[in-house]
Amino acid sequence: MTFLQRYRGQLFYKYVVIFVTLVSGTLLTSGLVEIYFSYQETRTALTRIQWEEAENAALKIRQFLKDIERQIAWTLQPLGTVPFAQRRDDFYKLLRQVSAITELSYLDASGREQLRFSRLSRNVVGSGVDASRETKFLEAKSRQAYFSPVYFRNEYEPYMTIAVAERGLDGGVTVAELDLRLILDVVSRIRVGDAGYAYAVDARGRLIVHPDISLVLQKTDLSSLAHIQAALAGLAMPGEERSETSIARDRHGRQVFTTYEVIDPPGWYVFVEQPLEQAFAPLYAAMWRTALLLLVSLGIAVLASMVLARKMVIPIQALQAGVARVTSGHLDIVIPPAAPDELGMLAASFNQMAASLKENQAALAQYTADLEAQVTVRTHEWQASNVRLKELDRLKSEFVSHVSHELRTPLTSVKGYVDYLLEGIAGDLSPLQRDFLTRLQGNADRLLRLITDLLDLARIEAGQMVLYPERLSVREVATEVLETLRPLSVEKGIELGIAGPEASDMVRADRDRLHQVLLNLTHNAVKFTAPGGTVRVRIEERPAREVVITVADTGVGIAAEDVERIFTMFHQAYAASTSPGGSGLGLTIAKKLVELQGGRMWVRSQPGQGSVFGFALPAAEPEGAR
Amino acid sequence: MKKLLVVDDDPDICQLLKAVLEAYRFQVDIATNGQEALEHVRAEVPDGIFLDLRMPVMDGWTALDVLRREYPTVTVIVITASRTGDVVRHVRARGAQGCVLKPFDPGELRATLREAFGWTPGTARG
Repeated sequence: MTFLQRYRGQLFYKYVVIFVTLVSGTLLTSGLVEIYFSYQETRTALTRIQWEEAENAALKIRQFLKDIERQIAWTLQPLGTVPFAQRRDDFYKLLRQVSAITELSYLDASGREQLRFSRLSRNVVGSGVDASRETKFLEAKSRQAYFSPVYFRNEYEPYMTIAVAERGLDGGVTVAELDLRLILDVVSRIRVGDAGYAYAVDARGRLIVHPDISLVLQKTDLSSLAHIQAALAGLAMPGEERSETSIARDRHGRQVFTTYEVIDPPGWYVFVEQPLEQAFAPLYAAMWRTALLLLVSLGIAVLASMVLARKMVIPIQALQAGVARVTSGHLDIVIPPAAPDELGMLAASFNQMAASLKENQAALAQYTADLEAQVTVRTHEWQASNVRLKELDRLKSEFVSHVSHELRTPLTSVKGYVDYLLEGIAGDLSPLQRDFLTRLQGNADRLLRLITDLLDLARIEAGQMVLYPERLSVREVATEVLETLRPLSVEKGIELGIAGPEASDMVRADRDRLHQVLLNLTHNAVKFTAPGGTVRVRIEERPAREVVITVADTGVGIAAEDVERIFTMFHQAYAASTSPGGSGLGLTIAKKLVELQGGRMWVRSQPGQGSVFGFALPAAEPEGAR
Repeated sequence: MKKLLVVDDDPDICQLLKAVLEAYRFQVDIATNGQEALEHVRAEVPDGIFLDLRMPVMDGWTALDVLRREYPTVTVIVITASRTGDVVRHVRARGAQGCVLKPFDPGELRATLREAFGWTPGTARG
């Protein structure tokens, strides 16, 4: 498609689009970058907060348990070494000091209970209950301290058994029942943000404390959650900062932002979580703000760009309209320059151009008019001159034919008288008289031939040559011609003959003129052939429905440069003295006579190799067809 | 002796033809135009007329027409400067018996005389 076909007037929209794209692109990019960094910062901050909480809680719990363990251990001495009363007092003091301990008992080296102090029930001394098979005893003995899994009393009260063994094989084990409510409250009281919370699970992933106590009572097992599993398998030591918090799914499948800390020895895990939505709520708010800002800016950008684009496009459109008008020929257009800037300059230049064009157009019109006037004058001159030339031509032909005729008349008389004097009509002649008269006769003949030829040529050129075509046999006419030349050929010792197929020689032509042409060609051939030579006339019909006649001689031939000019008037290949009687017009007339009858004539010759003159005439239609 | 009338506006031609024909033992009269010719003929009808075509006052064709009408028995030979096929046919169509070309070829003239008047060379040259 050409440019004009593709044109859609898009400059305005282009500007708008470009401008809007730029503005919104910039805003969008900066917004996104901001959001990304905000996200990272928020996450980091949240991590910090959550982890601190988790750490705090873990620390407290760990401390608590450690304290208790220590205090219990402090009371431990083998029974034998500590008086019973002493131990009893120690237990009493311990029970009083640590409110979390609800029961303290002492198992001797063989696992039998010797002492039990309980806050909730009667103290028992020396019951001797065998606890040697119980885990608490066995574990304590082997590992020094034993922390049992959390169990629940009265449905919702979390308890734990701690057993600490005395050193030595004879040592007994002190067992304490721990009420975990208060300490675990530390966890359930943790709040982060609006919806953040904390909970703890034991080493097997079972909830031991949660803001929603019912979950705990249901012995909810969270070990299936991915992040719980990860924590359970986690290898990070307590106290080591975790740079990454995970985003995981809680029991309900909601996405949460979670951090944890491990409490070891008991092997518990404190998780501090908050729903992702709440965690990133400020961030989301920021994103919405950015989006809104972007939209508003977009709107403003579109409006602004439209205004701006219009301002730019209108002058261009005005220019375009102006150019269109100029193209269609209206050169009066003037574009008012809107502003003194480049566009205004363009408009001013355009106006100049239009004015200049107008001038040029006027000048051109004037020039054309002048030219046409000149052409008309010249044409008239030429026409007049044409008429004159035609007239001249006519006069010339008339002159020639008139003069020729006038010249012929006295000449015929001269010739006539001379001929008859030579016949002896006026009496006998002396040899000298005869000689003189013979010379006269020769010259008169020549003059006559020349005038006759001139007359013929003049008539041909003036278009006044009248021809009388008839259906005739070329061979017949050729035979006549040869008979006329026989005396001359015999005298010169030249063989003269006709060749070619007997039939197929019928043409439609003027008999006398054909005779003239053949006589001219054959006479020339005989003239220019040395004694002993041959002149042959060949007649045959050619495929293009024409009869070709060639006169071939074994004479001196014609030089190349003469071949070109041989048909021109008065051209004689030889000095006049060697070719008596030639008028110089014979070939010219012969060629013209042939051409007048629809034929053509040519010559082929090489110096020293003879010549072949040929001409062709249209073949006559077959007998009967008329 | 046969009587012949030579009609030609050129006196030289007339004289020549007269001399030649008289040498051939004819009695010859001369006229210089068609009008004169007719006067001669009316006065005395010749055996033959040599008639030129182009003459003032009355040209050969006109005279020929008249001669054919009034004297159909007289032999008329047309004298002409050009002999194209058309002239020959024309001449015969108009009633002339023959045609000779100017300048006169002696052989041709003799042949014409023989043909038209039964002349023989033996009577030439008195």
